[in-house]
Amino acid sequence: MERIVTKDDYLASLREQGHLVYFNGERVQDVTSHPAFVPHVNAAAKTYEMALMPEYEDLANATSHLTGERINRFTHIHQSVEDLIKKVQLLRAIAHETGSCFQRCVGWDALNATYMTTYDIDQKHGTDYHQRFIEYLGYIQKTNRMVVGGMTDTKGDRSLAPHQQKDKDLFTHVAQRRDDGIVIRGNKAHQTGGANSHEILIMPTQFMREEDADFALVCAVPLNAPGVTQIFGRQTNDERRMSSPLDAGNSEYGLVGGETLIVFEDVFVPWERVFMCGEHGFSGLLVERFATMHRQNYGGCKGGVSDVLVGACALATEMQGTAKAGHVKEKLAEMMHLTETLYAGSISCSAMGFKTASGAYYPDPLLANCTKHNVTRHVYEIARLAHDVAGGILATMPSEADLRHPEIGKYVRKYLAGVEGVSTENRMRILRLIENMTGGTALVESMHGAGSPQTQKVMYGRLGKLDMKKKWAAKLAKIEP
Amino acid sequence: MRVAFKFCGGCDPAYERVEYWEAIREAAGERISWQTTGQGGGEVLLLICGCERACPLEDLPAGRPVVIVKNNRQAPAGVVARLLGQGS
Repeated sequence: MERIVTKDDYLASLREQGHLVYFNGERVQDVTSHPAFVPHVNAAAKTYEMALMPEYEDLANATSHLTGERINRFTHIHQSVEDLIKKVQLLRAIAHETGSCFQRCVGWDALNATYMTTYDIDQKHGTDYHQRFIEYLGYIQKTNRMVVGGMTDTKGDRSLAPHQQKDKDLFTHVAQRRDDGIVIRGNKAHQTGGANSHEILIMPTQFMREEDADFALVCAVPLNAPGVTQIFGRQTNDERRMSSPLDAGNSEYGLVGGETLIVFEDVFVPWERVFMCGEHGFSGLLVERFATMHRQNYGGCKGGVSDVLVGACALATEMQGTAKAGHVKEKLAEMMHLTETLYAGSISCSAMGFKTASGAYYPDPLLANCTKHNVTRHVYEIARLAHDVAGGILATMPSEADLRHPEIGKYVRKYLAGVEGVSTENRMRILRLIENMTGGTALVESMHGAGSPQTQKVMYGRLGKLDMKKKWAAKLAKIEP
Repeated sequence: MRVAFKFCGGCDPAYERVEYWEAIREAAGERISWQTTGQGGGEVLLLICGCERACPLEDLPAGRPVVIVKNNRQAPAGVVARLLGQGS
């Protein structure tokens, strides 16, 4: 397909590519129709659909700095602070539509991080990675293909460096260099949207030393390339999608992203798709840039998802007759405060963003890390408050099958009734949505997505300007330096 | 050579901007005479910014060369060399 424009184009393109995906021990022939994948495909498709909607066209599209053409913003290289802010606004807006992760930001961040870093590598080493990457970027912008950003390796024994692992494949690496390209082996874990992406942009998983130069690798691989296999991860209550839309909670868009383990078994990559190959000194910089841009996002998307959750809780309390209770109002207000705090973080790191040597703009890294760190806390607290106001029925509610049962359905409708005029089914629908958004996989993603809390904490030591803080304190305390 | 100098707002600087500017001034000696932007003139503008954001860049009038510092990692003599290199 030359260019993906509509949702139908996107679905057709996924069916055409015929990539190798497994779920629950079986090969999946078509991710666009398999119930385990459909919600995630729908969520990602929103990034295409909203670009065509007049009410979202300003956020969802951008002008390519390469061609001057109108492109989907998810393929754009940020050209200003305004672009950084629009990124966050777009994520919040899409989350309002999906109530879940729409996956495409990870590839967007990989494109931007690679754009900046290939420029820097070329400046130091005289390589031509940046021009190669610009040609690849032009291809992505033109075709509007979905890219998954592949950073996290499974890592095996974490106490050992990549080259020290008994099985080198635990880190993605160059297995063979040829005249026409390289052959890679390894894996990428937690690949959000991998099953319904077209390409993966592979990046190093961490800072690499000289002896790990083979692991300092950036390259792009179509996900239907020979040797690429994806294994889809299970999510909380995913079996409900197979039989019961109501019990699934958000049957159209699911919860969080849908992640795969992607395996590379002697995959050939031509040189024109290789953007770092052994320049280990830049692996740490690339990781930091990707992580910063991905952490920038979380107050946008999680802010938007939390907006939906606050709304769901407000509706539930209205249906149950508790909406006017003082403590309920106070808890909803607290949820909104936490939500806006997340969003404020994403906006602030964007507003304090700056131009890199490549010309691309980059958010303030300290503020971006703080934003994601807040997500590891606030989303849990928002979910705790949601459980509080929704009530214990979240955990004990009968199923959709019981509701529709010819003999016991009447009991479910009678005894789960709330305020007069509200159907029991509607009450169950909103409670299932809350359950879906606040349990298991949904929360773990907030903890570890874009990096675990410790990876954010280490940034305070590096970027927290502790020396200046000590100076200010010493000055007020009248302590001589 | 006359150089105008301007500091950023200083909301949360990563280093002591004034100390650094004084070190630059000392390294320049009599080769450079300094003036604030309010005094007008100056062949070159030195912008001393506390972080990578470099906020004053947004409102910078065109017309004269600018040397920007966003950290104190470069030796002051190096900044002086950049300033002198921008002069006519």
